[in-house]
Amino acid sequence: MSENEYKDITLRTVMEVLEQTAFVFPEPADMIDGVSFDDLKFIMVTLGFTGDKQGRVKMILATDFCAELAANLLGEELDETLPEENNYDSAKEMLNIISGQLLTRIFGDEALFSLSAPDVEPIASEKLFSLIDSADYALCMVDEYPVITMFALEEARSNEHQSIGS
Amino acid sequence: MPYNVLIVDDSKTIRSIIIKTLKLTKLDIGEIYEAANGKEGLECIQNHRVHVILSDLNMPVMSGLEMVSTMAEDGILNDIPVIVVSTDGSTRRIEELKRKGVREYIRKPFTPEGIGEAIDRVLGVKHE
Repeated sequence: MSENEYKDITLRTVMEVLEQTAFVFPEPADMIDGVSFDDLKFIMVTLGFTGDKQGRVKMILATDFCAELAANLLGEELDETLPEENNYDSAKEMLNIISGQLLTRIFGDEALFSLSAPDVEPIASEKLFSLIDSADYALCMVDEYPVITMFALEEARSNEHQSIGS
Repeated sequence: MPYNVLIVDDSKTIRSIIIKTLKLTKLDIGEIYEAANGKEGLECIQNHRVHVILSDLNMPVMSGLEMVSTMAEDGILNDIPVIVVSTDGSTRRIEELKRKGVREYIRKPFTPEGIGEAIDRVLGVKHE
């Protein structure tokens, strides 16, 4: 499978899961189209997988989008008074569902994996830009919010990270 | 007859979504109990009458599979059917779960129809 095919599957999976579970309608995007990161704070959700292959799936989301995600998932009105941490559970669950779907689509129904509990951390702009400069990612926009997803396989023995398709 | 349902999932979000989903089905739902892991789930069925359990697999403290194994050892798995609700789509995993006594498997993301039909099947509910 080529690098582009991995990226296409990742993008399609993210968009479909967001549509089906959170009832938002993402659009594929490209950084060269001038995506704005201004005035947004971001978190990075990371999930590791082991089994027939091992690696990580990372998703970078705006904290404001996490609040919308939580409200949509729960079918409730957006409550901006809730602490941000309350919304992170929704982002973690979203990545969990995306990762499950992604692994089956890439490696087939027979492949067996164990998924770790997703971790959430705030991510500063410098680290965000450094990450997207150094790794392959799938990007889509939900309204003004960028959603960046990275899928990376790791070598089981050496523990070295390997970019998708490489 | 209303059916009491136990939801076992470490994600409060998913528990809330399942509760909302249950209310969208045609099922006559009685009490809905919540547990954050298999251990809490086992404690709940000791203290309450539960007709069906909807459980995640990967949870801290005690996984869904460990909970199912304990229920099988205690001889209560036939009385209280367990439906696994998980992100895992592996056919090998699903076969393993069925061998362990899990009655139905629902993959996330799920729909009210999927949840309703799975509960109908394990409880033998027939709608008019």
